[in-house]
Amino acid sequence: MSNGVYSRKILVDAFADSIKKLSPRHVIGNPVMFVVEVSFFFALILAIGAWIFGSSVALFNTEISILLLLTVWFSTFAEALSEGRGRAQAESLRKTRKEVRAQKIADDGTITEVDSSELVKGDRVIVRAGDTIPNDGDVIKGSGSVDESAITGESAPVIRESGGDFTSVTGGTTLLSDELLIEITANPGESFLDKMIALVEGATRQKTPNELALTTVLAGFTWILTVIIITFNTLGSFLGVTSDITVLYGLLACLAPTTIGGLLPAIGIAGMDRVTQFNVIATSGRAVEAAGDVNTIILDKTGTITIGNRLAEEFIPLGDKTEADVTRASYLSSVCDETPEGRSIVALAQKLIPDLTRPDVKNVIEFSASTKMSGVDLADGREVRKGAFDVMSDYVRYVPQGFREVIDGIAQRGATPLVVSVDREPIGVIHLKDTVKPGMRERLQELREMGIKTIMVTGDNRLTAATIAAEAGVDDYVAESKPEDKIKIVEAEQKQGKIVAMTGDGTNDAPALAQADVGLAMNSGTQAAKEAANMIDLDSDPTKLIAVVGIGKQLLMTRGSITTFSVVTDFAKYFTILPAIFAATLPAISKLDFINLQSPHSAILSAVIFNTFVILALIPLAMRGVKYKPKDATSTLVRNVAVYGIGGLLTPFIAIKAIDLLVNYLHIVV
Amino acid sequence: MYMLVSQIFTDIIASSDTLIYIAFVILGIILVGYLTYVLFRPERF
Repeated sequence: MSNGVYSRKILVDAFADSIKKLSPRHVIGNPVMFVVEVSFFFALILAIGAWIFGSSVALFNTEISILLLLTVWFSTFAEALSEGRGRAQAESLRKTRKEVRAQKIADDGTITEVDSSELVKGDRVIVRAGDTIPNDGDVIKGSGSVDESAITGESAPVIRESGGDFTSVTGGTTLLSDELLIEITANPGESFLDKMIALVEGATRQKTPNELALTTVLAGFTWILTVIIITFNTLGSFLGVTSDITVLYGLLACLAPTTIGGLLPAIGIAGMDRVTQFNVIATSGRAVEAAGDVNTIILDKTGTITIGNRLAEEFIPLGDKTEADVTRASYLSSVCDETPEGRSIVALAQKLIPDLTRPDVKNVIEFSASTKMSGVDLADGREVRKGAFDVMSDYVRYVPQGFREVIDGIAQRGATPLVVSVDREPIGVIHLKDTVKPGMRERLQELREMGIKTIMVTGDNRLTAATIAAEAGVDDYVAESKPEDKIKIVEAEQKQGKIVAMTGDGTNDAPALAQADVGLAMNSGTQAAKEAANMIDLDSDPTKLIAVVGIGKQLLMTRGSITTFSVVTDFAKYFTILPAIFAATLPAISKLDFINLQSPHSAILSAVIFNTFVILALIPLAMRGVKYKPKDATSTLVRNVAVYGIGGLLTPFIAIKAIDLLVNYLHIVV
Repeated sequence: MYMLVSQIFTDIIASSDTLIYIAFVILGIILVGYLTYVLFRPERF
């Protein structure tokens, strides 16, 4: 889904689009650029008049009017270029949205072939290896590998299966193996792909709160400068200082914050685009900005900090029970468990006792996060259960000797113990092994350096949580948590004035995802989670939240750096061109004219040339974003002030002097 | 009074610079009005 930053097609389209965007009806949305465009029209009339009446300033007026137009054009070009990249991504997504034939299963089990566009929410379809999945849905039976490269760009297939956290499939992806029974979760035109295309195209892009605040500041600056310019000759006449109107327009363009004013829309769009390139879809620019301001990140233990696919490692008997007893009981408890953990228990049991036979099951007890228990009621009347220690210790008839020691021993190794019982009699403990992801400790350390607090949330007991927390290096952890606890943690942090980010994939996570300032849902998660969140990760990688925070920070830093550069260069320009303009009439001011520009017209022309082309020069930076390294706020601020502040102060003096020498050498100034 | 007004118009017509300057100031005032609106209603832009 990634595209080259400056592919030929994007550049050509952006060129054409930027010309259309020169329409005053579009430019009026950008106050700084609108003032420059109005100045251009007036300067153009003056230039035409000067040529007709043979005025000596005809060339100068023409040069200034062309430069004013270029200033606006470079701004619209930057905006069109950033939008063009989004459109190219939307186009590649649109290609994946194709009409396919679907095998729809009726309530009576008969299969009919229908067009994918005829499928509605609740329909059931069967998809076989090689078929394109006709629409978004949940796998309700079977498992298979799915090629999601059309959506994610990732060529490695992913497993989608019923039960667990990987049930969600997206229309337009291809099933590579096996057979899936899918329940459709979206009506025609409302699929995830449809929503993504609309988001990526940015047709409904609204200004973010930060952009609005900055627009107000820039409009305020321009307001003051416009008042100064229109009263300049009237008030200046008392001092014997007046200027040509074209010079005043040139002065207005130079002193107004045109650099940031021109690049502001492009910076915002490019920020969202960078998130998209990470295969994360942000529903608004506001979410990306909030990611940059995050103080607290709430991370799930399983699947985020640890690898996640917890596998059965061993069966430990309790009391007078044998290893064979606990192996058989574990097998019975998991025989209907479709989760990866359940399957690994069945696989380990079958490996230890190959002749295990499947029992007659009367009733299946599904796992739920609140009961923390699952199992089966067998046809022979036995109740087999497995679950977390805290609930199982209340459930079983008695607590055998050494029970606590076995549990603590497993937990201290950062693993998860599951207690198995038959008819409420504790039989043994299943050791589910999970390990911290490689590199996680370093990433969490980076977050700490950025001043971000990390909280690990897990349903595991305190010992397991503490061991993993220490190993991964999180700042805080919440053990034995239920899904509804997440929203309490989010609210508690927000009450302290913190900006909170979290990831989630289950329906239980939806309220917390909606409450968090940045809610990143996994594409493989449930529809409720995806609708509640303000970002969706197409790769379903929860650790992506850390990268999203980095992109958000980069967006804010880019806007801040270019604003600093723009304001500081304006300040430097006052000292560059004003002394040159007034030196003749106010000799005292000539002491400030230390770069000794050739003439007032040459000073204005050189400054306007610099002012115009600095926008063009900064387009790649606006698109790419400033370099971002995870550091604390103070050292980042010091670095950026040094680069963009001091750089912005010195650049105009050097550049304007060089341009002044060049325009005089070329004799293109009167 | 008539003479004064007549003289002003004569002067204005005689001096295209003055006309241009008046147009410049009027346009400037319109821009200041627009920017004032942006300051109070930034969400509309």
